[in-house]
Amino acid sequence: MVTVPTCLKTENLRKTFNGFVAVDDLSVEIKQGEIFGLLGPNGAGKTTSIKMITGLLKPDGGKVYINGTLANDLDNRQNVGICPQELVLWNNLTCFEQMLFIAAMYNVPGKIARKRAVELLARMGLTEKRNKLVKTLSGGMQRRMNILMALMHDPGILILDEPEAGLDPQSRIMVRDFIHSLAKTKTVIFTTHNMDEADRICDRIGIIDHGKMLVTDTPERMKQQIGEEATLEDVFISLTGRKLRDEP
Amino acid sequence: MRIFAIIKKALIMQFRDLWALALTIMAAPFFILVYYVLTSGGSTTYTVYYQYADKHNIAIKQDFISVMQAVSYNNGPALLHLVEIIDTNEAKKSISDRKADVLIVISDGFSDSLKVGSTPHFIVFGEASNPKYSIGLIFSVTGIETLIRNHSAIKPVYTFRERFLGNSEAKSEFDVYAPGIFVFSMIMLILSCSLSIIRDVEDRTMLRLKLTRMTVFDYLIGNTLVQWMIGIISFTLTLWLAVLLGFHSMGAMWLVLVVCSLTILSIIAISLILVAFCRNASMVMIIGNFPLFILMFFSGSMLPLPRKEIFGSFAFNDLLPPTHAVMAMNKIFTYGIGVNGIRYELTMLTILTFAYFSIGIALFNWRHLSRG
Repeated sequence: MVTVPTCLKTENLRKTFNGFVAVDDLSVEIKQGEIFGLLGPNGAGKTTSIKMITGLLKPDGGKVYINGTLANDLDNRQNVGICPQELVLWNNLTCFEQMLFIAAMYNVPGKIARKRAVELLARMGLTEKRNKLVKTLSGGMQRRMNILMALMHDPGILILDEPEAGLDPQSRIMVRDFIHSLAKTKTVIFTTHNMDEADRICDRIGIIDHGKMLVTDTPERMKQQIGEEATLEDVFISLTGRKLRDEP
Repeated sequence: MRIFAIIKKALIMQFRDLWALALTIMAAPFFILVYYVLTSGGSTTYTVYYQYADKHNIAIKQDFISVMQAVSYNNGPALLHLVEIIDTNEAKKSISDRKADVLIVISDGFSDSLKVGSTPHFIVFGEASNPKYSIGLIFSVTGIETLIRNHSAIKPVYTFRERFLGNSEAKSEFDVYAPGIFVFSMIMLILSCSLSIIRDVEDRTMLRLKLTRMTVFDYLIGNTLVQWMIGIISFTLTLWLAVLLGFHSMGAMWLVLVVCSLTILSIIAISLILVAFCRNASMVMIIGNFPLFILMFFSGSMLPLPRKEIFGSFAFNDLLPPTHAVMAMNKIFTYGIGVNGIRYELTMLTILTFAYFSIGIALFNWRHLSRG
């Protein structure tokens, strides 16, 4: 039996904001090449957890290990690429310009960066838009560019925070296929509110609420535990309840 | 490599925002042009209204006009613009509207007093709050004293000779005020520089940059160099246009550019401090007024200010880089002084630039590049 090594591990990760516990002793292990879905209602602590994993936020307690090494310095975090929930793009740069710019910020040599940018643009169906200013692209195209920007330094771990938000069905299929293709070489962690999407894409799912990881398992096993005809949404509701979670 | 990429990106984004770039570069040359048109490149004249009510000796009236018209700058241009009036009430209204600076009423019996050697009398009206009134009055009295000497045996109480330092006697009003506009143009960079940097914070692209290997030094050196280039281009254009319009300098232009380079760097450093307290462009425009007005009004670039010394000979104004830029430029333009003569100003500009940069980098890093 082949043992797949752990790519990302968090140990008792904790974060509070003015007394409010956003993430409460979060421990999770994600294997190399896995597509891991992090699900949870609004304000459950998904984005805060992601920020701590990427190093954007300092945890109050706990540890993050990347490829078995404590990720407390910048060098370790270089193996992580993040596509944030909101569009984070330079509107006055073309697609190609900003891909090369972000690659340069990761010290990727120019020749490699140009080759990688061409490949990635082609895979996301944006080749024709290569020299267009990002602000002239449609919302869906900008979303796809947002994902590509996280890949220019070829990270081993890719974190996608609600990547399918605002995408039309065609783009969503393209992004889904893209994520599947990435999983051959990368570990993908992604958050979503779309249960069907998570069910289709993820190898394993973690459901988080009130900053605590409630369960981690494969979608199939989760559904089986609820009932024969159960959907992932049934699992989600049974664990997190029906109460509305409006974000402040 | 990272710094070059940041410079390239900043330049591309500046050029894509062509209107903002053009406004930044052309604002100071435009001010210079407008100021030249307003002053016609000449010197300040003082409008003197007069009513000559003494009808006894018309020759003295003619001489009054002659001597008043003869009051002039050493390089030729007349100082007084004389206008004869009939209705003093109308004239007083003109003074309150600041269309005239001084009203002189030569009363009946003026020429008789000159003839008999008694002290002649005349009345002066003016608005004390008009800064041109007192200077206009001094020049008017100079003319009237000449008239009295020409037509009476009254001996002057004193004599004196004016000696002007440097090339100050040859200065037109344009020459006097253009350096203020030069420094003002550099101070104005505080807004354009802050706005170009805050864009990455406002668009949240800073979030992406935080995750990379980019350091605060890479980011700030790259952006500073681009802003410095824009400042130098704007200043060079302003200086070139001013010289074209007749601005005179006794000193070397390369030295002016050295002073300007340091001043621009110090203003960029102050911009970093400003940006550290802002999250978006609106905040830059609102909070930015605070340092902008301090630099404009307390550095002596717009108004001459008294020195309020805090310890020793060090005044509050000395904390502001443009104070030293104004002093250095005055020495270069008026006295043609070289590097040695402005060593103190250059040293202070360098120290202040380093100090503000250190504070700016620390605050910027803490506010916008730290990892939560």
